Amino acid sequence: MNPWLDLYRQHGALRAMNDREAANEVRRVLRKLSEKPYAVLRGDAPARLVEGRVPRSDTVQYTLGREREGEALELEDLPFPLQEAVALRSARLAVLLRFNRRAERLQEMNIMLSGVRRDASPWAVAVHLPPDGQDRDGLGACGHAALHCHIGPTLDAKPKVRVPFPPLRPAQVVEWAVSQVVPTAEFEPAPWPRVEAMLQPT
Amino acid sequence: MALNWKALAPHRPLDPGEPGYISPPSGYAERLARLLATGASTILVGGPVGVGKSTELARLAALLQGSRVACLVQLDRRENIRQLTPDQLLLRVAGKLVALAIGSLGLQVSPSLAAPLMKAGVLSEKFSSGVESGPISFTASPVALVRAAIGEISRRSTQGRIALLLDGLEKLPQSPQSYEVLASLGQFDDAVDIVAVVPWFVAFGVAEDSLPPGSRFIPLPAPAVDGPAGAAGQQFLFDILAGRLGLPSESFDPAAITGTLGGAERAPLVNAVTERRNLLLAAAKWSGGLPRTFLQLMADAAQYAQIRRGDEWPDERDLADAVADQKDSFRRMLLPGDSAALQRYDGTDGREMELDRKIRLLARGVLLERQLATGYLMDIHPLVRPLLGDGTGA
Amino acid sequence: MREPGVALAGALARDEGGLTIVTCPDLDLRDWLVKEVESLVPTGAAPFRTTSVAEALREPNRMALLIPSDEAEVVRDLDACRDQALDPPRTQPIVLFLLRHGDGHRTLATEAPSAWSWASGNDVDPEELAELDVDAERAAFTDEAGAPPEDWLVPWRAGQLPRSQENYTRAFWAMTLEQP
Repeated sequence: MNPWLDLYRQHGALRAMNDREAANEVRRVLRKLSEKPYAVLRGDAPARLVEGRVPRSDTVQYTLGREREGEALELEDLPFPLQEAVALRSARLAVLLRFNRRAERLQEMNIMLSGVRRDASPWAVAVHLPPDGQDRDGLGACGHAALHCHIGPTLDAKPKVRVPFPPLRPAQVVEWAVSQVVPTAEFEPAPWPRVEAMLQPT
Repeated sequence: MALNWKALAPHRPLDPGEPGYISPPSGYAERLARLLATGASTILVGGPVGVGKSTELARLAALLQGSRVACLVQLDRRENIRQLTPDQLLLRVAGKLVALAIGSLGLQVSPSLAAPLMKAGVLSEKFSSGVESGPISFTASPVALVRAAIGEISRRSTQGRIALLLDGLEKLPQSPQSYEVLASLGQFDDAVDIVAVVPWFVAFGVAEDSLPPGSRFIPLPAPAVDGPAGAAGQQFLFDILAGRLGLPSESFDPAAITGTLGGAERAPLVNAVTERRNLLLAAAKWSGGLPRTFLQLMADAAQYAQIRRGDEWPDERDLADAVADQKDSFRRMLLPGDSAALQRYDGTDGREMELDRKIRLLARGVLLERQLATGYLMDIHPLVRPLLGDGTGA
Repeated sequence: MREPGVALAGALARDEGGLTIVTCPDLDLRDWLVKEVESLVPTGAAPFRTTSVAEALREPNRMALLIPSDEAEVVRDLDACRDQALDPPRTQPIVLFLLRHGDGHRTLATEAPSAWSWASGNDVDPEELAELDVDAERAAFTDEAGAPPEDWLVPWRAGQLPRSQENYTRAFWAMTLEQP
């Protein structure tokens, strides 16, 4: 049981973050994803991470797209060798983040990538950190970890797989989600050669 | 080909001879050229920011080229105008005059004139080839140098007469040093025509004693863009936009769509051009006739379209947001008491308005002077009118 | 309604080599807004921070983030020197950070018509724009979901609504608008 308890604690600790810092981290990832030569998002994507603050409250949200609709990945615009590595015909990235600004706390994270495979069947991956105080869904911290990832044709298709997710910040979750759809070196934020170099004793 | 909205460059005036010049309905530059031809020798140019003073001055330089050595001195591109002294002004003029003589007119100048200007940093060493060889030791005051330059160049040039077109002095703050700078306009030789862009306070008699006798203040008006009299002003703005975007001027005229297209093919094209024209008409009306504001509105709206949807052409919502951005700028600029004063003097000739406030509001185009057959009247800028009495404390 | 990031990015891109003003509610948020601009701009803009107009003008091909130590003086200098940005032409804007009710804005209003005009429509207050119009948002939610946010959340929290992507997004929206 202890490892699951530890994971739950780590997920709780992850929530401590400054919203502006977290948003700027996401913007930097979006910028990388929208810059040529390997752009998978339309230009100026960082600008479309929309901040919304509830007046006279500490709540602030960030959504990709004003209507929370997210952004289509421009898979067909990728160079040919990269296109071959992509198993989806189309995909859409949504980012929903809500914070308590004064408490510097991530209240909710919802990063989803849904798409259509080449055989026209649906496919979705979604990383959820439920609202603060409401993250004990399901039966326990193993079967329904606080920060978890759904993978399947749709989010509610059975069996409902909820993979426990490591305590990564929103920007890294976005990086990860895109790396699953475009599994090429250009979209790998931590390529092994660099990891190995950093693992070398100094 | 994709439209290059960056080419709008609302902050950039045209340089002399640069293609794309569109004459305003007032025919301002041509009017000044006629005045100079009929004997006016010192003309002071005024007008709200963004009305096109620099572009008109550049146009005037091009118009005068045949009859005069037309020397456009863009002082604000080289100097911090706040710190400009009379000597710096005179040296800059002398330096530019010699550079023009060598670089554009192909004249040679004496080394005794060029050397001190190079030493003062107002004439580039690259003009050395146009300097005659000979003794170069010469020391003189800035006023002597500028007069020497005027004398030598008017004698050697085929045009004979020199016109100095001074841009940037409108940025002079209202201060004793500025009055001295303005007074230095009287230091040039009588044989020189002077056209200088000056601050608004000059229009109301402030610094009058400093100015050369016989100076005429001629404001550049913002063209009317609303009502029956507004058609010429609208077309002027459309033509500027089309020119900067590299489009034919009839691009925004649905009536210009003719040819062999059948009704079914023609209708959507007419609809698209009509929509664009309506958007431009709205932007023109919001601009109050100020070309810079019009270009800023369209460039801003185009950015919204590009960033939001990747669209090449803005829609109504994009323009509405660009208008909101401009209104914010005007709102932040209004000071306590402005709202009441604007409402009180709207539609009058403004003569009773407190002078400092009037100068500040005219300089920014918050108040526009509209010329009628019977005189001038004050018109509140269309972007400001909705802000009045909205509780901003202005 | 203007999205703060879009308005800011649009202001940075509108005039190649122009002047953008970012309005900051306080000095701490000014630091954050500088970082936000840095995270928004394309890598090629090579932004750099400076406190001086002269230094900003010396780098025409880099985005100058002008963070004044004396706002009024910087605005006066910009007013008097701005045309130096035309020759040689800048390819990247100067981005001036000013306090919302500070000396810089006051100087723009009283002494610096040229600088004000260049930046007109390009002076963004992202913090102000970020404020949600809750009444309008709640009306839109009710219209779209058929119930006010609090009412819609009851069956959602009871697990009675499908866990679809659409509903997850709607739940997120509802919780932002939820009133105690």
